[in-house]
Amino acid sequence: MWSIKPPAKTNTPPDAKPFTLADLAAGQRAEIACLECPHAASCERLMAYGLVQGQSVLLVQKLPAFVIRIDETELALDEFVARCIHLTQPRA
Amino acid sequence: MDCHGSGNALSPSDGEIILVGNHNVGKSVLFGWLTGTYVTVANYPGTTVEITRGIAKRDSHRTVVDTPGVNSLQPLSDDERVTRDVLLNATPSAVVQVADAKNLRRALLITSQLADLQVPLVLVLNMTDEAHARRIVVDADKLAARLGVRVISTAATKRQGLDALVRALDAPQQIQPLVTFDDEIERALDELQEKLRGVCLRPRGVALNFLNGDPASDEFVQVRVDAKAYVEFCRVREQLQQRAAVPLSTRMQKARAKWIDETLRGVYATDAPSGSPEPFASKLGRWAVHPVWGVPILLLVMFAVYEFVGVFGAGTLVGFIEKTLFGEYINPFATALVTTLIPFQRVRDFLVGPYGVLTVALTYGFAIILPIVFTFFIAFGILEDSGYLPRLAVMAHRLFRAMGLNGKAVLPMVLGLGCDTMATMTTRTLETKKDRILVTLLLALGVPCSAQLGVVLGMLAGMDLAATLVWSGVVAGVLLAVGWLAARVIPGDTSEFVIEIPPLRMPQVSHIFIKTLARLEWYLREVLPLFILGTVMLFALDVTGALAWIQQATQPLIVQWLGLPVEATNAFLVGFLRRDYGAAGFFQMAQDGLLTREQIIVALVTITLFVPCIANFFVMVKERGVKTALAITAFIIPFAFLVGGVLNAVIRWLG
Repeated sequence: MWSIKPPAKTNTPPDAKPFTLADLAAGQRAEIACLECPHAASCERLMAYGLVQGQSVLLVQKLPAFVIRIDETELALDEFVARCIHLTQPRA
Repeated sequence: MDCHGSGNALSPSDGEIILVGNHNVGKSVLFGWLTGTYVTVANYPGTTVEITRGIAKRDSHRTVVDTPGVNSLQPLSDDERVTRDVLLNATPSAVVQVADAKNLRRALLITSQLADLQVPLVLVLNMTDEAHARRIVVDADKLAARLGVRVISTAATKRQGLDALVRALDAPQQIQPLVTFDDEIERALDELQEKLRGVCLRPRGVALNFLNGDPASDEFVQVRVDAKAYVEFCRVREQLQQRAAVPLSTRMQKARAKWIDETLRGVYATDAPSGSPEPFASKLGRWAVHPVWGVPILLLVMFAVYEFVGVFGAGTLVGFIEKTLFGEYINPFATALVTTLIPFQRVRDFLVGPYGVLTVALTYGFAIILPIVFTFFIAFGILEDSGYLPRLAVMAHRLFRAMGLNGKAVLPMVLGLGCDTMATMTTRTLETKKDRILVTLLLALGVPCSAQLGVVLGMLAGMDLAATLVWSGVVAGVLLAVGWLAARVIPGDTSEFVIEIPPLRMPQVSHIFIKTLARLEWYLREVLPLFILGTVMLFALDVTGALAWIQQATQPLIVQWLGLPVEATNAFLVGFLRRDYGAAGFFQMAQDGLLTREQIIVALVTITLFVPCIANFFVMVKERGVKTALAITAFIIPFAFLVGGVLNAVIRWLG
């Protein structure tokens, strides 16, 4: 599911790096594609907070920690966790 | 874990009403409304998790139990484990799940787990007023039909819908399993349930927990079934786990998420509010985690806490209780009474002498420390209930990461400014072993408790700003440096930082009052006996002459290395029992004009970094084990003297 994008700026293959919450800019919104955590427990905790496939996430800020909003829940997390949350590319 | 209620006062009894739900859904408001004024707060056995019980206002035969807020009943934290255990073992007349109508998705995860426990359930959709304001519509009737239990819409803070809840409590319906897992899991569940039927109350719940590899459930099953059956249980679990790449618990959670999606369809609708003005509390909450505005807010909060605990508690209250109440009335009276009643000098000294149980230990415990921890616990309770602490965690996250920790460690570290012993106990709530050891070390090394801080600030207040800056700069620098180094030396993982930021709320006075009382009771029961023990030990050292000998032996260290007068030995010696006790010794010396400005700074830095009090040491042993506790202590004592000596040399060199 690729949207039409300008030619890649660098020569890294397009699917080398997944698009994650850490790549989103503050104030942007995107949908969760999947969670890729090193431990099952981390995934389950995030799911219990409502981070499930298809949910829309709003990135409020990145500093001093990531703050996101899902429905009416606000969560703070660090960049490491943000990289575990894979998103579907927002359409330009 | 016990299937049937035992005689323990804390264990569940029959016919209770149990409240469960996520954090910040208004559970305690509802609890306050359901119960009267008589409420007990107690730690769940073996944990620091607090369970609140009260007598139902409308039916004095029933008790209402408030459990800690949870995200899931498939436990990932102590709080969740306790709530799950309470539910597994109780035979309640009703379980009331309190849900935030705005956050129905998260609530339904718990509902689906309660369904597996097959408890009599009433679902309360609370905060419907807030949901309404944000144009969120929940169809309660349709939801009730889907769940098979009553669903009551309330706005507890406005007392709306509560009568309907009381009626529903009379005849709650038993909820039946709602989520069907994949065939493999269901077959395994059926097999285990069959064997557990008649053995315990909630076979499906126990079987699910067992399959997830929950240690408590494993033990529970092992005790209830014979050895052959247990082997069979384990075989079923292993087969299930081996066959798929995804862990069983994640598979179950995915099935629940799918069910929640289906259940929400046509029940929960949101019409995203646009242009509606953001309420002030919400704006303030946002500013409090802002990279720029968060800083002045943080400083303001710290200043307010300092004014209340440091100035009012440690100054005004201690001044009145220690000098007036104890100094002029209680102690002279006790001394006179002991002198007339007891003819033996030794016994008199034991009670009212310079190391007397009454004149030192009790005066110290009640007159100096009690007012300080009392004000601290109130301040801490307000920070807790207002929702500021998680925001503090966000602000401190970067700083803590430099020490190999993350924002979550803020809670025990801030609590350490009240009482390091209590804070060391709460390190249990940290997720990884490395986090727990690091925080325990830093608490013991350089986080002064409120009592010590009170004494230290009292001394610094009499000096110039530079002295305060040197003291705080050295202590903070040492904490950062040791944390940074220790994080690289201590093996293991640091936990991931995920924390919920609740909306800012006005704290409820009654709730803070109840919590403060419970914490004070804990302080009196656990800490006060240690003051008495410490004083008795000092008395024994003094009587046997060991005190004088130790002073002689440590002279090179105290006098040559630290450049302090020989009397300072006493302060360090009592510092072994309580750091603040030691600081109080310096306070006395400074008042008597025995210390120069430079000596005071060196003495205060050394005593701040010095070993924790004996109570803290015992708790370290209990929580981290003898080896770790001894290792930490063996590092801290020479290290504190090293820093003190170096500081002494630097000050001298600078002139």
